[in-house]
Amino acid sequence: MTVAAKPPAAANPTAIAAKPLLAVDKLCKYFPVRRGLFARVKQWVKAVDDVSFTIGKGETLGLVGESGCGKTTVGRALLRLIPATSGSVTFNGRSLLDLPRSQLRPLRRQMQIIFQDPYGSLNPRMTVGGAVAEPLRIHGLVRGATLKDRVAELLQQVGLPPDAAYRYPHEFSGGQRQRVGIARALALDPAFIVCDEPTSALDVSIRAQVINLLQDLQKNLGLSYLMISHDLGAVRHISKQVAVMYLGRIVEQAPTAALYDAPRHPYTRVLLSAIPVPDPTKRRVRVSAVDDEIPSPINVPQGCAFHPRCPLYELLGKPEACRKDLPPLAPIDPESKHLVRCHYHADISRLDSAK
Amino acid sequence: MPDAAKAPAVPPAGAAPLLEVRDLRTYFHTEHGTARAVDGVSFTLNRGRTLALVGESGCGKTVTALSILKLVAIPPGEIVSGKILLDGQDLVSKSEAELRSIRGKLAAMIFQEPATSLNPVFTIGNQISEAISLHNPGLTKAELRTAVLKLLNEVRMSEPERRIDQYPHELSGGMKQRAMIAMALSCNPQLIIADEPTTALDVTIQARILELLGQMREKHGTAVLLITHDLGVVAETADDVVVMYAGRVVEKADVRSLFGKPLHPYTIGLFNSLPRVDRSTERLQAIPGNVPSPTNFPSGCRFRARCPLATTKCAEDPPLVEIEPGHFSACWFASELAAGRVVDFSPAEARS
Repeated sequence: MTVAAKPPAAANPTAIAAKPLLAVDKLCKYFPVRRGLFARVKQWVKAVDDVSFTIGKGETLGLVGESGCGKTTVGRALLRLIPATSGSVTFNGRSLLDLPRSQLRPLRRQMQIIFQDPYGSLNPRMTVGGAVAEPLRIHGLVRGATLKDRVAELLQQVGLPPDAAYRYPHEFSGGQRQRVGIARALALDPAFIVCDEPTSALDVSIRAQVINLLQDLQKNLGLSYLMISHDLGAVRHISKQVAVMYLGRIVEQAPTAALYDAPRHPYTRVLLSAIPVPDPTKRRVRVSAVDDEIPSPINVPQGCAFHPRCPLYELLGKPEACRKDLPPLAPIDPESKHLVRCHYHADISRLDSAK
Repeated sequence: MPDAAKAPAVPPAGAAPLLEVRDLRTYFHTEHGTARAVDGVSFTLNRGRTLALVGESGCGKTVTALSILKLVAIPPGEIVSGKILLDGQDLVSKSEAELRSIRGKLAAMIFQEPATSLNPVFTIGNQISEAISLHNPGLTKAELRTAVLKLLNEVRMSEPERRIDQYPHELSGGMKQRAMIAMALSCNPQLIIADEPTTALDVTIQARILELLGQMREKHGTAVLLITHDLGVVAETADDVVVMYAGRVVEKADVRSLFGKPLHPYTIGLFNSLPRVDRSTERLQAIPGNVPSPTNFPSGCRFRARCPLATTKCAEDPPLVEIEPGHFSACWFASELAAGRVVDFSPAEARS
């Protein structure tokens, strides 16, 4: 049995700090828009445009934004489930996007994905044991009786009873199915998992179970996560860093507490203040977008993409820079890890006094 | 906006409630046995108030709402017993023809998926005018169009003149939901039943739609029955809350008492399992186990299998009792909880 070199389990910690497990640099994914079957490409949807971030070993980056912002496309493109248009992805020191397919497979083993809808991603005619064993068989890692043991071990790891292996997906509840999805992702002993809305289809009490499970696994196995979600509460809970996307670009990225407690981008402000807080004694002042409708990603507005809806742009008397120049994603001060893509982020507090 | 302006007009003292549901039981007869989806639910909703029905999937909140307007498919569904008094009339005994004049006029419904509740082959103007003309026959085409435009303006639809002639697929999710609300408002109902009206929408749009529902309530004194699983939405919009679990009401109270001091272990568990945006938490206290299936509800207290407080006493069904003024709980230990007993879900979690 050939087992390829596993990622170093616990290497020198200083070396880890210096080199992230995953580095995404200037990732772009454009989709062509054709009108008619044989028509030429007229326009491009810039689903992901110039996205860069790094994730360290054992860390979680939360990627948030509203539907259509491109967060899911980022997850798919960096795993090469869809081809990226440009940019680079470095995993464990190896460049991923230009790797030939034959060399991609051993790397795939270390990078897994968990989907939102576990029912849609499990074959209804395959037992849960079969589904969890499939990746092991395909990669030829474990065979025969050991396979059974490994499956039992995985099921136990995600909190499912051993007899679950002999049952079919429809016999499980949503939360249990998500556990199956997690067991399957863990089967190949990955170092990195893209979690694409893993709890969005789950009930409140079950969501907490799955979040706890993901955290326990991270602690025990040293996993790194890219947590893609519109659930800003869950992301705050699980992430070390958070990036906010709007129309294909990251508009703000910061350590979790800084992003939630002192957001600098007007869009982050709008997004966070829109979330209802379960406390009837709190009446928060809501910062609203000027216009409710998100522009089409085919026609991303010139300059800062958020300016037509931006309350700060309005408040500052529609400065020309917002219409003309795309602001860079830059640190709020030279040493800071808090990045923001806004010309006037220093004026963000004026949104509070305006109300 | 100051708080005082937000408070709805107080109904005159002693006025009959707009909606009273008494011991409602809606069962579904399926091949896997009888599902007791709603099993003895009672609550009242006063004029101009917002009542939230909260619970997880399968708790019976949507079936309760559908039963009120008798929109449950019969068969396999059956309203086995109970009374639904809307403005003094018992809807359960009404004929389908009588109900048709009540739906829309007295009470209207907004659904979770505006995309599937709108007809894709008609313009939204068309669909809203249909709703109006059903209850106001004899309006001319021009009058109808004016009425629709007025409604679209009222729900703050952008560019109403253009939207009126558009088809559902040309509108965004938020706009579709605005169109649904316009349709619901078309006959000035006294009650709007909103079933997860914002669940399919992004948070920024959700905030706007909830704002709109609040404004409609203020302006027309419409009562709202809000069905949701989102405790944040409840905290921000409801006056009163009914918490459902496995077909039963387990707790009901005004919103401040319920959030300030929940008196049922299930409600407490729900609050503990929420990751919050406004503060960081170390570890969530999840409720162990799964929601029981409606064909197979446990006997006695239906929450007992997941409840850290459960004892042999819980094999007996706990009644819904008023523990504090206006605050009801269906738990044998509710008075102890009121006195400060703590529910700790974590040891059970470690066990599982």
